[in-house]
Amino acid sequence: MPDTVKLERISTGTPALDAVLSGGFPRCSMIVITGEPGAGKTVLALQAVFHAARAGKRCAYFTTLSEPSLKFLRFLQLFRFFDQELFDERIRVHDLGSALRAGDTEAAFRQLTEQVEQWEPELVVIDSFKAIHDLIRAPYKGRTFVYDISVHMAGWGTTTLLVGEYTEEERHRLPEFAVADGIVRLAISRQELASIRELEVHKLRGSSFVSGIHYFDIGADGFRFYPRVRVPDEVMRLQSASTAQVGFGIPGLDELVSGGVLADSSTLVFGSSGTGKTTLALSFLLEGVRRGEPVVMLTLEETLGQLRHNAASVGLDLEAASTKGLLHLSFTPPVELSTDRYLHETRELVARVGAKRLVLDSLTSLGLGVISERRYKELVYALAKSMRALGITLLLTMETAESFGSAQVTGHGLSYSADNLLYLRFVEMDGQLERAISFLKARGLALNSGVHRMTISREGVKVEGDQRFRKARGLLTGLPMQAPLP
Amino acid sequence: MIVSAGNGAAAFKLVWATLVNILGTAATASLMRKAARQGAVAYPELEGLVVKRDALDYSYQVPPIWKTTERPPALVHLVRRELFPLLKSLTGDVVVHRLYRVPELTASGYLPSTEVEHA
Repeated sequence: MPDTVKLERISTGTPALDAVLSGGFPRCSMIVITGEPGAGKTVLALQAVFHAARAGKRCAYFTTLSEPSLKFLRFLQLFRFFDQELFDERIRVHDLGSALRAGDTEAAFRQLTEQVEQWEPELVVIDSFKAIHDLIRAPYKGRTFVYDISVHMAGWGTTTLLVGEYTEEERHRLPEFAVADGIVRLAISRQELASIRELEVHKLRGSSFVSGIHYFDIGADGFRFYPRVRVPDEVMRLQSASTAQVGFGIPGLDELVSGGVLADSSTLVFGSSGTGKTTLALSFLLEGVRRGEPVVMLTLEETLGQLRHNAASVGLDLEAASTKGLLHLSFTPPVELSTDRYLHETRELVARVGAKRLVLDSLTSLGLGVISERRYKELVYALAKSMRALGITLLLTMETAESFGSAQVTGHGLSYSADNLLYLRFVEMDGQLERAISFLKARGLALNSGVHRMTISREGVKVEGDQRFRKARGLLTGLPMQAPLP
Repeated sequence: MIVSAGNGAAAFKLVWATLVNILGTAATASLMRKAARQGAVAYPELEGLVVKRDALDYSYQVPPIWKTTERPPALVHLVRRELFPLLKSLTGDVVVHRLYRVPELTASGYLPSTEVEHA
């Protein structure tokens, strides 16, 4: 869109939602905030009001015949964004219900416009506007009423939020949705036994916005918003990839890729249970700590206590790395995990600590919280690209189901998201189970794609060339055979 | 210039209008009825304050003596000792502060003079 007219914005009070709206509600626009009762419409509107008031803007909040002011004022004070000092100085609450209860919508209109003309607020909320609409019987009157409010508010330089509990059918039929410059829909949806709060922008006249369903929570801090995880815009603008290399710090492994993977790349480490994925990932992080880099480990599988204990048993000292302030560990149980929220918080965490390396252990557990396989792949792809945009080296682990005699090396349809693929598996060798490791892909690097032996001991992880591995064929099936002599 | 709230009926009208502006008639009527009933124990005169639902709206009648008396003690008691605690418990300081912004009410002594007094 050509930048001939610059739309000023009114912040929603939630930076992540502002980003979805390309900066906030366009100034002087009329926005319908719709959703079922309890969806969070009033909280969203109030948070915007308090934010605007803190920024020195005058705001007016008109209640009608929905949530009584008496209750609304009481519950409002439970939120941390509430500030008594702003009332009357910056925020004025008016009741229109007294006029409306007698069915006198014209009186309500007069009160509304008089207040706006006297007080000249920059942000006005009418909650609920639907209650007004319900009292206007004739359709043409409804349209005129909405149109006149829209024009009056814009004329007085006011941004207006019309809050209402509209049904799907009403959204298609009622004039406020046609006249409004923007429509924001809130909903509560069911995901198996859990309820999830959703927000979707349906329309934002004269402005771009991030379409699709986003998620939010409501807590003591008010509205906490988690935009739908997607490939960030910065990625689209990236012109060149890093050529710097990042080592795992595992003897024998970095040599397979000429010294390490690329600094802004993503590596998928996959293999069956017990093959050493987590240990390898921790070694990768501790190598970063050794180099003085802040690193982050997100685990969905082992609690932090288990992780520290297991790491210590193979000579990896997580405690010391944490004490240095460079290793940031986070455990989240995968049960009822909201993946978009989780990944949004991950992005905030790595940005906050200035992480250079990130491990997510594991994609398998993350997948438990994703509603569809397609969305799962989108999330992993978006995570990989987001970390690239931040210049972070990402390592993801994934458990594969495999049995001896078969080998599944596709990465469960996720391999396209990763720049590098590192495969671990058990092989039977001379009656013993050995660990085998192989790079299947290393984007932009010369690659030694041989199958190598990996050992884990109290001295840590090692990758080494092994005569038996070199001579064997069919290692990736788990049941190798000795190659015939030349 | 300090402006008097006038007689009791005029002062009550100011309190009523201020509350209606922010809370609406239904909530205002409900709070007044409760405050009057509680206050009538100490001031039976408050039984003469009648708040009723009329069709879809609310109306009130004040005790006749309020129309000729400035600052009637029963009204002072109603506002300071009954209505204030009720408003504070239900809405915190928001509505109470709105009353303080009416100079006629503060000047005529219907409101506690300090925050401590009405706390």
